[in-house]
Parts: sequence; C-alpha cells; structure tokens
Amino acid sequence: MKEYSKILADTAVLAGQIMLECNAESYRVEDTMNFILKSSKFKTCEAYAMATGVFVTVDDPRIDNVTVIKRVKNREINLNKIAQVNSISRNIVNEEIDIYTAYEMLKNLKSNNYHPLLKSFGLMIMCGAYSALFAGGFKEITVAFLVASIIPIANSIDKKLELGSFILNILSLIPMVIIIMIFKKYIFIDLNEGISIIGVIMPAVPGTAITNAIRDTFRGDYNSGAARILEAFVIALSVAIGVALGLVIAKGIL
Amino acid sequence: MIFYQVIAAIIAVYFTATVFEAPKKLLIHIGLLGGLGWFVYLILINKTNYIVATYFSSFLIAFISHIAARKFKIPVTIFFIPSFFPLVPGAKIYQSVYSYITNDPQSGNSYFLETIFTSVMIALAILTVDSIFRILYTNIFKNRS
Repeated sequence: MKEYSKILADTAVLAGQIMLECNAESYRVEDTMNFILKSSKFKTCEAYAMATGVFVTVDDPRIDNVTVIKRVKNREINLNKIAQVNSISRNIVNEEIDIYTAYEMLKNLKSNNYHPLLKSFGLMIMCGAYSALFAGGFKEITVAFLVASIIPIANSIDKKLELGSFILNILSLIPMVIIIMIFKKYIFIDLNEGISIIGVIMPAVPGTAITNAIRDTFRGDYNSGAARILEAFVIALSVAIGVALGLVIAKGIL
Repeated sequence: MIFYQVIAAIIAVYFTATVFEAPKKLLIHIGLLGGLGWFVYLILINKTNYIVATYFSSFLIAFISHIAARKFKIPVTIFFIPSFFPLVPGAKIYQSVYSYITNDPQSGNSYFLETIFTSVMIALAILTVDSIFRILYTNIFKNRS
C-alpha cells in the first residue's frame, strides 16, 4: 500500500482531473481538491486548478513533500461524473469513507449513464427540438433531425483522428449546411433553411464555455476565466466559419 | 404558438441534458426548468426587447438552479449548463454569418453585437444570482446556525 500522503495527493489530483475533463468550473475543481486535501490535517496543502491542468502539493514535518502535476488535454462534458466526484468529496469531508476507498471509487467511476445509441438519437431529437423552439414547422424539424445524424458520426471519427473541437466543428458543419441546402433545393422548396441550420448548430455553440467563463471570472479566477472566454470565442468562430463555408459552397455548386 | 415553442424547449433541454450525461433522476427537472426559462423569454420579448428578456429569463433559471442544487445536494452546474442552452445566442451567430456572406454587413454587425450583448446579459444574470446566494449563505445562514 502506498504512503498515505501520496494517496492523498493522487486522490485530489484524480478528482481534479476528472472534473476538469468533464468541463466543471475551475473554482469548483479547486474547492473540491482543497476539501480532499484538508481532510488530512497536514500543515501545508495547496491545490491549484487552471482550465488546462491541476497542481497539488502536500507538506508536513512528519512526511516527505509530495507534489503532483497533471495536464488535462481532452475535455468532454459529463455532468454525471461531476456530480459523482462531488458526492465522493462530500463523503471524505464527512469522514464517511477513507481516502483509500475514495481513490478506488474515483478510479472506477461509471462514465456512461446512457447507451451511446440513445445519446446519438437524443442528439438528433435535440437538434429537431431546437428548430421547433425557434418556431420551426414540421419540415424544418424533420430536416434538422435527419441532418443531425452526421454529428455522432463526426464525433466517432474525431475520437480516432483527434482533430480537436475547432476543426471538428468546421468539418462537420460544412456537410450539414450543404445537405440542408440540397433539401431546400430539391425536396422542400419552401423550407426555411435558417431554422434548420440553427437547430443543427445548437449542439456546437459554446453554451458551456460561456457559463463557465462567467462563473470563473467573477470568482476572481482570471486565469481560467480568460481561457474560457477565449474558448467561447474560438468555438463561436468555428461555428461561424463552418456555417459560412457551408453556405458559400452550397451557393457555388447548387 | 408560445405553448408549442415551450414544449419544444422542454424536449430540447431534456435531450441536451441526456447528451451531457446529466443524472437520470434529474432529467425531467432540468427539462422543465429550461422550458420555464424559454417561456419567460418568449413572454418578455413580445413586450420589451431581447436584452430585458434574456436578463430576466437567465435570472430565473439561475435562481431556481441554485435552490435545486441545494435541495438535491449536487453542483449547480448540472442545472445551469443544459437549461441555459436555449438562451445561448446560437441563432444570432447564424444570422450574423448569414448577413455577412449575403453582402449585408450592416445587419451582420447588428446581429454580431446582439450575440455579444446576449452573452453579457446572461453573464450579468448569473453574477447577480451567484452574489445573492453567496451573501445569503456566507453571512446570514451561517450566523444563524
């Protein structure tokens, strides 16, 4: 069994890493790591979280100094994992579980709540529903629903090629916009193509980045706040570029 | 028409939460919250403008999210992220791009500004509610216990 202090630092870093990967706000990540570290009653416990990595250091006269750094690269939103890590850290603070159990629990965290097919189908319904939300009719909803099937395909290709969200957004939006324009030209002449396009871009818009940016910035975490504001701008830019290129290409070839 | 759009918002937010892997038992709560936010937005946008509508609907969503997060003992983000999605200016991004490439830079600019202002209003609403709850919980409730 590893030393207590090492396990403690590892647990805190693992918790922080999972939360950052699932797109939690940085101040929340920092708070969670601090709660876990404080449970040890060591003299020096510092946790630092940025949008792109976590740092932990633990020191006390009785032990050797432990420092762990973890860089976080891939991020995919997963609210359930955030909730699970949060409840584990609550349990540690209330001394309901010890740090070794917590570490094992964090390592074996259940990642998928829903079946991948259900998620893909949900994504398609979501796109259709966003078209309806902006007062789209039956045609707009149907087109958005059908065209949205490209998004899960693009996501699975991205998992293999690791394109990054910027390129992925552009490359997946171009064919979607072109197909919507083909629908308008050959099948539903009176289709309001804007509503359908808005429907299919909604999963890509930076909603998460905007909310997290605000909450981090106003908590005084300017480092992460600025990074997330930039993230929001870059995602919005990629959506804009994707839609623009799709429309331009569609106008050129149709 | 508003009824139809609100139902659409509930379904949209419900499935946004599914895609983002929200806990199963909270999906319907999150969906209804998103629908409520969109309902307030639609009511207000007919009477006032998009700035006021965005602020008040965001305020309501954020306020209820905070209460719900404390009731269910989970991070407030889980309510926030999916239920804010209808308000995020995706449609305005599209409209400004569309105006720019159809050679109408003036409406492009105004839609671009609307995109920015909508985000800022969401930000201000979240700031207001976060501050209210922080003041309540760090001063008033702590002193009482």
